[in-house]
Parts: sequence; structure tokens; C-alpha cells
Amino acid sequence: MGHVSIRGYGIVSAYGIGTAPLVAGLRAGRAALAPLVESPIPALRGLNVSALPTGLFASDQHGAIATVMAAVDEALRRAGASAPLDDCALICGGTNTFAFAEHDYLRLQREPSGLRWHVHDAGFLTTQLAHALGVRGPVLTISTACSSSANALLVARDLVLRRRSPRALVVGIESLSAMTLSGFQSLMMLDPRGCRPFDAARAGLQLGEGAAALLLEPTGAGARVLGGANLCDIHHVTSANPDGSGMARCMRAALADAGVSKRDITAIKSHGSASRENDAAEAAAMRTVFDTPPPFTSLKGYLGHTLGACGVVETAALLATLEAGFVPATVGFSAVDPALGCAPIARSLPGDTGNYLLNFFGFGGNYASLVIAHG
Amino acid sequence: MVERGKIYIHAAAALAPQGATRAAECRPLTSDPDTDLRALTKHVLGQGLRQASHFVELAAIGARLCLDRLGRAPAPDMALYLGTGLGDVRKTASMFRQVLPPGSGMAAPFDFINATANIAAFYVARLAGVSARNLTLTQGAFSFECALRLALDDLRADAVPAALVGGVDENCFPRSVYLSRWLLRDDEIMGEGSAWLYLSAQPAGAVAELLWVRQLAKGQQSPAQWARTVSEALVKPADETLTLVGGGGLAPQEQAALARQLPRARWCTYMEFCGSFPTAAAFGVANWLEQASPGLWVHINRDADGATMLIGWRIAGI
Amino acid sequence: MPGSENQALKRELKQLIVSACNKDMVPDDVADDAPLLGETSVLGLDSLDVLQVNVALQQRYGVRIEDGKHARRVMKSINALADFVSP
Repeated sequence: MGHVSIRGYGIVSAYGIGTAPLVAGLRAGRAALAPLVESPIPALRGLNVSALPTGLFASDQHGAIATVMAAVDEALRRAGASAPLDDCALICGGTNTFAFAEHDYLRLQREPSGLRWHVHDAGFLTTQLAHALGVRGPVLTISTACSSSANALLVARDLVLRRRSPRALVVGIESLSAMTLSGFQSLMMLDPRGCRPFDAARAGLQLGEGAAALLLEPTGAGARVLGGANLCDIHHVTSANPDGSGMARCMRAALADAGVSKRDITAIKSHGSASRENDAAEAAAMRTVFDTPPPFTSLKGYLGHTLGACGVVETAALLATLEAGFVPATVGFSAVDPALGCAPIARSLPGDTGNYLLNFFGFGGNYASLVIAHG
Repeated sequence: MVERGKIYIHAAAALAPQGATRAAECRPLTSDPDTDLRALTKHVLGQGLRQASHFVELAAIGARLCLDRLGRAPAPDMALYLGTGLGDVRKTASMFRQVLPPGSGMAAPFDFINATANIAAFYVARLAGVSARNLTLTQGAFSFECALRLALDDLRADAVPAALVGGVDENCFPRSVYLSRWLLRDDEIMGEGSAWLYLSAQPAGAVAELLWVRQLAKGQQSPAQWARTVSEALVKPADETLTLVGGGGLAPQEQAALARQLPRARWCTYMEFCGSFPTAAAFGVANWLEQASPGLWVHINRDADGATMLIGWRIAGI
Repeated sequence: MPGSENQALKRELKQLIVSACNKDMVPDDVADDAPLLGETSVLGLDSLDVLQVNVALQQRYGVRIEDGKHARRVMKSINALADFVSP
């Protein structure tokens, strides 16, 4: 299939607004990690998470929209574009409804009289953004757990390649919520000290929040999306097939779609969630596809796992660091796990011109892999 | 023979809120339906889904009915598109009760997992044994239309060999919780349903040809102007029977204007059987495909924003 | 008295497991010393059920299970579970 250009990208992360503080943090190998201070659930306080700087945005729906808009503004600025985006599609990954509804629920308990809930259907945020940006092209929300916004990017690519829309804006947002934190805690999937991807002592996820935006056009300056794949590993509802076969199939399908040989992959941005089972499956998958995997890293230790948003958040973060001249080291990783048969990069690498493979694997066996050319 | 660009509907099934699995069994609803699907799940799937939710059961039963009606194994690389306006509202509400004060602060793992919007599509894929493209998507009252449009685009681009496309939404109790997600008038029944279509480019054995999914630009229009815009979008051979299926977003005055604009068109309804929910359009299309007669069929729907979406299909004469 | 000798507690635990995991059986179907986990056991609980039971136990008895390994040890049988809840 054909290629599209990522004409602009923008991000809001635990490092703050924009790519500049993020690049500085990733260059220094500094995790954006701190104990959770405020939570309606006492048991969640003290968990290490990658939260947005306190007070940057309100915790309600307006704050969420402002967060995405900050990322969109940066992406448009980079692309030399501006709203209204009447010839643009808007594809959003994830729904963020837990965070919206949680805010309303708690507020309703504090001030029970005279207040009513905002109506939040699952596409609420996307609809609000489409209005704010003057989008008149196709509008859609993709909801496939942690691969949501990677799949949103693939859907957007298809819209542009099939001339359904002259260009497409892909956005994702994840807000830390007590609901999500508590859910992962019930599944015993959180590492309270922060995540250690592919490390021998890895013990679970570090959750994060943030938003990112990518503007896709058929041609023009910027990294190019060469291809990608989305498929479903039907092994188990929450855990990958330990032999990595589902993930391997996804990476191979992405390479085939991109028309890129495995020998031509410069480096991999792994999903690398630091879950014991999923890192093992991903390592097995990379060894299946590549025999000896190319250098690979995980960004989860820096940014936390931004769940539905990680597809665009980590793509934007990788593009920003490549443009700044490096592939970030895997923060949180220190001890090789001999059982994996491979290890992520512990020091940053030069951000060479080349093809990068990006993996995003989610609950419900929903996997997405992307191949992006830099330079 | 595969004809370039033509896509066909091979099977359709609609699960109604009271558990009816065939159009002929559907009865008009008189109150908000509260149906336990556990027995029907076992009956249709041959197994219970112990760790799954009502929403997952809805999706799984509807999808299985559709694949059963296909009468053959689906294409192994069949892609799956699940449109839902609300996802698992019951488990999301249950999560709130458990996690936030005065709850215990702990989420039941089953509830957390099921509240993740794409879990239903996972179960459908696993039960069908397919592990290809799998997307759960949302766009308000057009969640099914958008899923269908994406599937149609993917099929036309030959990106997938076949597609199973569903529209699934559940209701929840008390009704006030539902109303925080989806507005209903007091006289509207809080419905639910799960309806699916199986699509491919193969003409042999098809029930209908899926022609298009179109979105009309929104604008400040009177019902009469709107009806003209819609009728202009429905170019058809003059001697062909036109049947219009009115979606839940259609106001009575719009329907009347369209009836004046297209006086020879037949009208079909279905909302009385399924109640109101964001993906009721899927129910309408699948339900009427079961009772098909030859001609051009168009499902017309509007959202609260004033946008219009049309689904067109053609049933060939004998 | 240790939990494994408390018939009322053991019945309560069986009921809790059966209802938390939506098992289609009555508590009396579960023997006190039979294994709870794995496909060969009467209950056939899997790793997700263990987590589900764990949250139900925490909510009901305030006990805290540290990790998956601990959970599997505690849920070896109804007797083991009863002794954990009430040592």
C-alpha cells in the first residue's frame, strides 16, 4: 500500500506541554515518575505514576479537551496548518470516558443539589474536538484498548490513501483515573515503584497520562508511515500467547504491508509494558521475526503506559527524539533477563535515518504494529 | 465472478432486546426490557460465557446467529468491525459503584475487563476462530453506519477478504444512569440489541448488494429542503421499488416531508421492536433484510447534530 | 479455632467463590480438601478467577493477598483458604 506523511506531531506528557521538555527528559534518561498524591482511593496514593504536572489542566472535560488541543496546536504549528480543518478527518484513539464520568461522579457527591451529569457517550470527546477544530471530514473513535490510537492512525492512513479525506488528524488522550488504576491493581498488574521493561525483575506496569496528535497528509515533509497491521490474538482475554506467535504475526503483517524487509528495520519501539508475561511474549515474537532482533527500546518507563493514547503518544515521542538525533535508552531496565534471550538498549543510540517498527499490544488481544520511515 | 467494487451481504441477524432471534418473533416493546441472556447464550453458543458481561453476551449471540445463517465457515481472515455508541455501560456503572466512595475502592477484575470496550469483539473473534483485523469503533448515533462504511471501504480496497460488521448496545438500570450516557425522551423505550452483517465481494449466495454508506453534509435546512437533499442522493432506476427504513433519529416532520418528496416509496419501521439505542440502525437493517423484497432499500438516520447518514442496499428480483 | 475447622466459614467461602466467579454450581459441590484451581479441579478456576476471588475476599474479610503466587498458595483448597482468612 502507499505511504502517507506525518506532517506534524504534538504532545502533552508527564514532562509538560510540547516536545521540548519531553526530548530533554528522554535525552537525560530521566523518567517522569512520581508518587500519586491525590486520589479518592487511599490505597492508590503513593503508587508511582507518570501524571501530568499538577495544575496544568483541569480534571474535568474542559481540561481534557484543552490537553488534546495543546497537542493539536503543536502538531498544526509544525505542519504549518491551522484550524478550521474543514478538509480534514478526525480519528481519535480511546474514549477517556472513565476520567470524565469519574470527575462528574465525585462532583455530584460533593454538591448533590442543582447539578446534573454531563451526557458522555463513548465518542463524546471526539465530537467536542471536531466542533472545536471545525472538522468536516469523517469523524471516528477507535476503541481497542492499548492499541486504540495506533489503530486510529492506520484508519486515518487508509482514509488519506483512499482519498476519503485530503488529510487526517489522529489524536489520543489518556487521563489517570481511580477507575483505571484500581482496575489494574485488582489484576495485580501494577509495579508500585515504576516499570522496568524487559528487566529480570520487571513486576508490572506504570500508568501514565497524556495526549498527542499527528497530522497525516498524502505527501510533504515529515516522517512517513510506510505501513502497519492490526489483528486479534484470540489466545486469552488479558494475556498474550506466551510463544509470541500473535505478536510475531502482527509485526510480519506490518512489514509486508510496508513492503519493508526485516533486514531494513533500524530499531524497534517495543510495546514493552513491563508486564512479566507480555514482555516475554514480545521478546519471543521479536526473536521469531528477526532471529536476532535489531536494537529495541521501550518508552513506558519515561511516559508511563498511556493505554489508549500510547499509539500516538509514543509515536510522537519517538519522532521527536529521532528528530533530536537519538533513540532513547530503555529507562527502568538494568538487569538482563536471560530467559528472554534478548535485551533492550540501556544507552541511547543515534537517531539514524531508517525504518522503525513500533508495537502496540492491548487487552482483548488487539495488536497493532506500524512501520515508520525517518529521514 | 467477482465484479470490481461490488460488495454483497451474505447473512444478517438481529438479536432483539427480549431475546427474539428472528424478525417474525419480535413483539413491540411496552417497557424498558431487562433480559437475562445467560440461558440464550448457552443455547446459541453451546456454552456459557461465565467471565463475560451482558454486553459481551449480546455481541456474541448476535454474531453467532449471523455466522450460523451464513451456512458455511467464514473466511479465515475475516475482519471484524463492532460499532457501539456506549460500550459496556452496565459494567462501567458497576465499576463506579465499587471503586469510588462509598464503594470499597476495589474493582472486580471481571467488571474491569468487560468494561474495556473491545472485549466483546475479542469474544466474537475467539468464538468464530478468526484472528485478523479487529476494530471496535464509536461515533454517536452513527456508530454502526461508520463501522459499515469502514468495512465497505476495506473490502473495496481489497484490504480484507470478508467482514463481519455489528452494531451492539446495551441498556442499563436504573434508567437515570443510562441517561448520563445517552439522552432519551420520556416516551422512548431504553432499548438494546446486537445485529450483524456478513459481507464479501463474492456474489454467489448473496442476500443483497450493499451499495453505499453516505453522509450528507449538515446544514440549517427545513424538513422540506432536507427531504429534497435526501431524495437527490437516492438516484435509482425509475421502475425500481424504493423502500425507506426510518432510523431513530428521524423526526416525524422529517419523515412526513420525505414521504411527500418520495410519494411512491414504501416505509418500514423497527424502533418499536428494539427501543432506542445508538446502534439501532444495525437492528433495522438486519431485521428488514430478513423480510426482504426486491428493490432498492435505504436506511435513513440523523444524529442530534443534524447530520444525516444513509445506508443503501439492493435486493435483486427473482 | 482455625478456619479449616469452622464449617460455617467454609460454607461461606464456597458461596463467595461460586457467586464471584458465576459458577453454575451449589457450594456443597465443592469438597473441603479438593483443589480449587486448574482445569482438573471441580471448580476449574483460572488465573482470572483467582484475581476475582481475591478482590471478593479483600472486600469481605479485609485480608490482603500480596501477589499471584501467594494467591495460588492460599487458594489451594477450601481448608487452606479458611485457615488463611481465619488463622
